[in-house]
Amino acid sequence: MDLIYERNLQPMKLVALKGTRQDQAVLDLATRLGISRQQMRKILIKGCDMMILENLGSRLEAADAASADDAVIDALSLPHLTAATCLLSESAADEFHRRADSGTPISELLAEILEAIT
Amino acid sequence: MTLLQILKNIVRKHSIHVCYVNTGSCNGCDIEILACLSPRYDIEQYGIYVHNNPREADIILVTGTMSAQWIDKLPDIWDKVPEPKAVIVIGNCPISGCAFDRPGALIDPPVSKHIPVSAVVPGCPPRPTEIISTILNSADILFENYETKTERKP
Amino acid sequence: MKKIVDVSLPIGPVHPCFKEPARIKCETAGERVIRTEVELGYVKKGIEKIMIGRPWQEIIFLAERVCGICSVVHNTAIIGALEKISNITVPMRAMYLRIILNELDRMQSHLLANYSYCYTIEHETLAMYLLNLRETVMDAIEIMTGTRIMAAYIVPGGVRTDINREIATKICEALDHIEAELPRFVQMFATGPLIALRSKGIGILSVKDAKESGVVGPTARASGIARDAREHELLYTELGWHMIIRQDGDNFSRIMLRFDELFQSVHIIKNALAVIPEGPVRLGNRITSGRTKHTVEAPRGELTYDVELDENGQVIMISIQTPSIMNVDAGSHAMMKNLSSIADVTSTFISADPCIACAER
Repeated sequence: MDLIYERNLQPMKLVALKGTRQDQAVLDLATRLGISRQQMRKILIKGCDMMILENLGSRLEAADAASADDAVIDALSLPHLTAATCLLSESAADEFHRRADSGTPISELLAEILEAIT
Repeated sequence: MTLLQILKNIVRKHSIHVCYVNTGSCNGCDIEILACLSPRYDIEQYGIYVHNNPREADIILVTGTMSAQWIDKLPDIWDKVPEPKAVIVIGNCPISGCAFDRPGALIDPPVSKHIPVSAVVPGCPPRPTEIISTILNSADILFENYETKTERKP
Repeated sequence: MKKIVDVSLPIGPVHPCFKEPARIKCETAGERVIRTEVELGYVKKGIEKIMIGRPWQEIIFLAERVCGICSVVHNTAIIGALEKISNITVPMRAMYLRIILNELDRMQSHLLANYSYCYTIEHETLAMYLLNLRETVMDAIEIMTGTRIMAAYIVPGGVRTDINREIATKICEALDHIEAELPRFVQMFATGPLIALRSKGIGILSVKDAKESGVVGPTARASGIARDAREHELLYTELGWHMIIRQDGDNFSRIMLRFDELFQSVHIIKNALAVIPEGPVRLGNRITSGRTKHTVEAPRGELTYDVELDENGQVIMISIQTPSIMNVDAGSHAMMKNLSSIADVTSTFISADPCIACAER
């Protein structure tokens, strides 16, 4: 649907992501998930609104603090994807956490998470 | 001059509706316009009303460096303003881009490239008294005998 | 934005309540606001990008023009970062003068924020009282620095000009005037029944949401989070600074917290003027290369400058973390969620004191 009052925000979102602090945050998150910076940018531009992208640095810092004391959550970077960037729903994150606890290998789950957020 | 024209001139001189549009300024000029509202300067005693609604404005005050998002929106706002209308730009940014007009910046100054400008108030930022005196002085010239003016504004 | 309800209501970018252009898209069900999205990009100039590769003498003026409302604190932050890199000592008198100017700046910013809120909830009488009081503070700033906004008063190794006894007396007179007038306005705000209807219990920011988006400044302190960069500065504690906290986290407590901080600022400036030592205000030194992170408390929260300089004094990397980024984010994702009326969207947005020019740079 073509709305009169809705504009294409993708160029502005990309400009927001190119800021020094935001760029560092994107790189950190990309390293966590094992993908390239361009792929990470594409996912974030598609899934997040502008204010989250602008505030990416401190949101990811808060997620780092939340995931510090649990190795499984840290490996899957669940707080980064749910609370910080809202890419993944809470129930899906719980499901991934439960499956990791029951013995599914982390690498397999990471691939599934990537598929879920793209 | 007809009696009606004289009456119109008097009324227009004492009822100037203003809308300010921030096209990417640092807020410095905007808060100086806000300071004009304060009882110290009391812009309303001269019959100037700050409405911030382009559809009932006579004068648009443009501040800021004309960032990329405004290039299509500012002419839209200018079209919505009913005649007679005028644009006054406040501060150095809309005139030249001020300190931001460097390679790599996401701006496109000056504002006069996009919409016709009637008066400028340089300064970074200008004082409230300068803003008020510019509005008062230019409104008299711009709106006097508007109907019978030969050269119509674009 | 995904369409989950029938009406999506855009507010802005040119709106009578906003000083700056921002666009709030509200998803509504009847009068109820389900969620909102703040759309930015109208004042993006790319200041960080144009700072790179320029000498520090140009950077201090560009940094001041990030935000016009709190220009003094941006000046303080970038100069503080430069001094930290090059180990420049500041004379004691200059440090007191910096604190005096910063607190005056905080006062005018808080008065402007509270003016905007009162104007947004259509209490124009109180708004005009506050705006008139702000002019007194602006006069004090003008007497001290020579101009109202963009003073460039703070330079590496001190401040630009000294103040004499006469100027100090005039600043004291201005503060006395504020101390005499302000309690009446606070009383009006605190006891007004209609103001309470529009402010109390609206736009609540819970501690969990606040931590998620990293809220700083008065917005965080009104939600019960003790976070203030001034607590690490010894001189502030000596001058009688203490943390002010409110627990409710609604619009009312955010505005009342700013009123409380105004009184504290008056107190700090008066103490500073009473005990300010004699001596030089400006010492010379060289700027060297290096990288540092410097945080100061702006009127809206913590402001961080991350600067790297090369040996010629040119900027290699700079990142400015302004408080408004976090506060607008919390505003859009936590405070404006599930509001009972669309009329509260603008007032809730303004109550966090958003500065779009800061947030986008």
